[in-house]
This record gives sequence, structure tokens and C-alpha cells, in this order.
Amino acid sequence: MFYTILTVIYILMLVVITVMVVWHMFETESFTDKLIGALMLVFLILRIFLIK
Amino acid sequence: MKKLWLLLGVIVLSFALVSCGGDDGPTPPDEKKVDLELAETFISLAKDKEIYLTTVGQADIDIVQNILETATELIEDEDFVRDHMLTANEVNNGSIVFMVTGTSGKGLGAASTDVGAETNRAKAFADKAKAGDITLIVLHVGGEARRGSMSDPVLNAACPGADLMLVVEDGDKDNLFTNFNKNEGIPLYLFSKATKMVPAFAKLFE
Amino acid sequence: MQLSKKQKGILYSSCFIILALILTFWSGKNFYDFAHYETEFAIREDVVTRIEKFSKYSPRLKGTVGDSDIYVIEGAEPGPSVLIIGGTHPNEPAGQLSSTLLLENLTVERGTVFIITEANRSAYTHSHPQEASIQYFGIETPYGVRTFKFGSRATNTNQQWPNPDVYVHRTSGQKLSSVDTRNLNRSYPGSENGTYTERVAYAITECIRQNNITITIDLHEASPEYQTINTIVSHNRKEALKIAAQTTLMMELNDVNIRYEESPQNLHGLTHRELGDYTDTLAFLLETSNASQGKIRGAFTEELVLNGSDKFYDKALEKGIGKILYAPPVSLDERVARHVYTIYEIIQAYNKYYGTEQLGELKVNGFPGYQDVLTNGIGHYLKEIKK
Repeated sequence: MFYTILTVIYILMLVVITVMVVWHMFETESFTDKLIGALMLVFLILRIFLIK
Repeated sequence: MKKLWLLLGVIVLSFALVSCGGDDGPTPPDEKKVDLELAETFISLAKDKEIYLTTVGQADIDIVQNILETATELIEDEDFVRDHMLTANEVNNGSIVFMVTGTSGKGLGAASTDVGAETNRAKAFADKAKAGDITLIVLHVGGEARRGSMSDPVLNAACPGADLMLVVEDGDKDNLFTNFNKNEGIPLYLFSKATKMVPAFAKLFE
Repeated sequence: MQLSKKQKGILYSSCFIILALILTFWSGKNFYDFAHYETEFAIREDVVTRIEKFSKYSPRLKGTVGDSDIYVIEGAEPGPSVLIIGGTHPNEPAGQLSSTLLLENLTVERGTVFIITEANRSAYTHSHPQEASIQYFGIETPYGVRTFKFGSRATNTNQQWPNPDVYVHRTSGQKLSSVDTRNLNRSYPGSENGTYTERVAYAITECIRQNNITITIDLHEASPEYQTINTIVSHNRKEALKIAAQTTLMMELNDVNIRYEESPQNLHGLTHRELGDYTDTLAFLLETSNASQGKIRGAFTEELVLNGSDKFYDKALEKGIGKILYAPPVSLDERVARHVYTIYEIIQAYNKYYGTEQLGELKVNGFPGYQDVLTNGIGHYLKEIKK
């Protein structure tokens, strides 16, 4: 992997966003929001681990 | 009443469509003769003249130079002048100019010029040749790929003044060069490949 | 048991999260395996003199994915040299396949041949988003199927992020789109401490400079509707243009259509421009026609990459839509045959005009003929991978 300080900041931001998405999935009553949150999780996690 | 007029209109239009193109069908083009030997008139045409090699369109000049050097063993700067941006003013009366046509977008960029400027340059050579001051040989070796909106304006400026056109057949699919030959009497020789021009060049310098 | 609304919500969210994790793991494994798959090349130990790394010339690449191999084949006598660059754009398979074929077949009598098969290894770790491209394609050989990767045109953002909205070419100040920041063929001459892609470009430039490589040939492909296919793009140096013209003529004589173009002065970052300007090498770039890069194509299949056949291109040709100069389908065999034959003629042209000069001739053997590659297929010339 090729890291710079910006990569670290970027990943931290993604982790925070992911936590917020998961929190929102549990907080919201909207079924659609839960589904969209789940789809977003796929991309967010892949990005956190720099797989895609 | 309205329906009657509509019906009448449709019938009239149908006749108009049917009456278009009254011929029996397209006339097959005459088969073009390629790779012919140059006629007697052209033998030694270039001999004892100052020789210039240029391009209008900034493409394929190296190919023609290669053919020229293969056919004649002439050496650049010693026996002939090669100049991408040669102008008609720079050429002495009595000279022979080999003008390579066919436009390259990359070549235009490399030479910082454009189609308009190349067309003007070509026209100046054509005018000088028409006035009898120089002998102008127009070449097109790039085939169909060197035809189109960037090349054709230059060709239309250059060909009317040519004393001889040497063209690779693939570049004449729409008969542009053949039409200059038929309509304006500009001598034309078609070749199946650029390398087939070598004997023609040899004859020009015999 | 009746669940409350809140409990149902928690249940659904948990199920979706588990589903998301399954999808993430499944797709992630696929992407990870692709990124880490190492394409194999048959290295003839009795022929290949040494294998160098990009990091020899660009030290900051050491230990990173972009630290590609440079295969060096030295002849018994010193003489001129040629560098063949494949894999600059991993979505242009003929480049890599041609350089691989030559790596596994050439022998050198006099002079040196340098071969790169994966110029931008970072670009081989991913594919271009939204192209739905295949990940792998296979070439049948007498020893079984050899698997090659179909990657992306650009460096992976895992190696190079963030990228500016406007790419300013370092040495010329030319402005290009952001995506070209990760395009190796807009990054030359490169920079030792620049972006990741610039460091890769720097490695290749320094390899040429330090080894005084005489001729450099960069292998590419383009969509059938691109006007510069079946073309040699040559640096403006007189010697290079002379070689390009002679190559064109010789190939035409043997019924292989090709033309040459001069490198435009105002387009920067490419091999045919910068390598010629910043080193003494005679720089050429070769293009063939690749339907999988086209915008008219339909489904992206292995068949499309290998055979170049696509029903939408057939329809476009039939209806005369667009100026598609050279009719597809053009198979990968034909594209590789063209590249290999062009390289052969470039060397012959160099020897014809400059072989009597101080360096002498470059004597390289083992080029399969154009018709032979068409008839036998690329796989016929690929060697067994010995473990």
C-alpha cells in the first residue's frame, strides 16, 4: 500500500461516516433509508480497506 | 373535401418520389488503370532542375523523400531542398517542386499551422505552376486515411496547377483526382502502393 | 412473539448490515484477488541476462506495487539498444501480449533489448469503474491456458489520491483533465518525487537515459473510431521520422496497412514527445484497433477482447455511422502480429540508415512473421511457465 498523511485522514473520515450511517440505519424508521444505508456500507467498507 | 385534397396530395407526392432517379441504375465506374509506366513526356522531367520537396498538410513527406532517395540516390541539402513550410516565393523559376498532399492533424500541430494556411500555400504553388514558372508534381500517398475535410480543401487548391499527379489509388475512391484528370486534363498516374512509385521517380530523373 | 416497531427496526437494520457485510466480503475478495493476481511470464534463464526493477531508477517506488520488472537481454557484442514498453495502459491488451511474446522469443546477437511487460502495474490492480470490463482473459497455448489481466487505463487511486480537478503537466504547464493525472502516458518525463504515476514515468525515462537506449517503442491500442489507429507516432527528430517512413513503406510493401504521424509539439506528457525531447532515444508509439475500448460496443466479454467482434460495430459499419477507418473485427492475434511486425521493421529501418555508424547494427532474432502470428495465434509463441 502507498500511504500519505492524506490517506490516513481520508480513512478516518470514512470510518466516521460509516459509523454515522450504521447509527442512522438503527435510528430511522424508514425502510428505504435502512436499505440505502446497507448499500452505502458496501462501498464505504471497501474504501476503508482500500480494496476498491 | 379535406380528405379528397389529402388523397390528391399523397398521390402527387407518390409520383414525385417515383419520378426521381429516372435512370436504370448507377453506371459502374470505369476500371482505373494502376501502376502504369510514365509516358515519354515525363521522362527526365526533373533532370537538371533545382529540386524542392515540400508538404501541404504536414503529412507523409518522409515517405516521399524515402521513395525519391531510393529511386535516385539524391541527397538532401546537396541535391534537393526539403522544407515543410516552403513557400512559392522561395522557389526559383525553372525549378521542379514535389508537393506532398494529405493532411495530418498532428502534423499541423507540430508545424504550428492550420488547414487555411496550407491551402493558401498550395494555391500559391499552383498559381506559379499555371504561370509556367515552375514544374509542380502533386503527390498523395496516404490513401483514404489522408482524405476528408482537412485534406480536400488543400487538394482542390493544389491539383488544378499540377503538371503531374502521382496518387496511391486508395486515396482516389471518390474520383477526386480522376475528375481533375478528366475535367481539367491534369495528368494522373495511380499506384496500388506508394512503393510502386519508385520506377516513376526514376523515370523523372532519367 | 409480537415484536414492537422499534424491535422490528433493529431486526431489519441488523439483517441489512449482515447482508451488506456478506456482499462486501464477496465483492471485496474478488477485487482483492484481482489486485494481487500476479501475471506470469516465461523467463528464459539462458537468454534473459538480468531483471531490473523500476526502483533502480526511481528509488521511491521500492516495495510498492508499481515497482515493475525490466527484462534485459544482452547480445554477445555491444551495440545499439531498443526498449519495448508494454502494459502502459492495461486495458490495451495487445501492448502487453506483444511485449510478452517478444520477451519469450527474442534472442540478441548484437546490442541490447529491454522489455517491460507491465509498465503501469498499479493500473493492473483495478479496472475502470462503470466499464463492466472483464477481469481476466485466457490465451490458449500448447501448455495450457495462460491468464492475463485486463486492467484500467489509469493508476489505482489506492496509490495516488487525492488528484486535482485540472492536471497541470509538470514540465510544460499543459492543462489536462483530472483523470490524466493517473495516466502514465501523460506523465513523462516524470519526476522522482512527484505523483505516483510521475515516479513510474521517471523510472522509464531514467532507464532510457542511464542506459543510452537508442530506440524506444511504446505499444498501445485505441478504439476503432479513433483516427490514429494502425499508426506509428514518431518523435520529430529527423532520424526517427526517416525510420518511421521506411517502416511504413516496408509494411505497405508486404500488404500491412499502416501510416505514420509526427508527434505534435503541443501535446505533452506522452512517450513520443517527452522521451524524444528529454533523452537521445528515437521514440515511437504504435497504435492498433481495440474494439473493447470503443464507445459503440455492446457487452464486454472475453470474446470481444480476443476477437474484436461486436454486433454494434458491425451495424455501425453497415450503416456508415462514424468514420471507422479500419473495419473491425480485428482479433488480438492480428493486433499483436501488427505490433511485432512493426517493431521488426523499425529495427530493420534503423539498421539500414544508421547501422554503419559508430554503434553499428542491432541484431535481434526470433521475430515471428506477421502471417505466422495470424495463422498460428499468439499462444503458439508463448513458452511454458516453469515453476
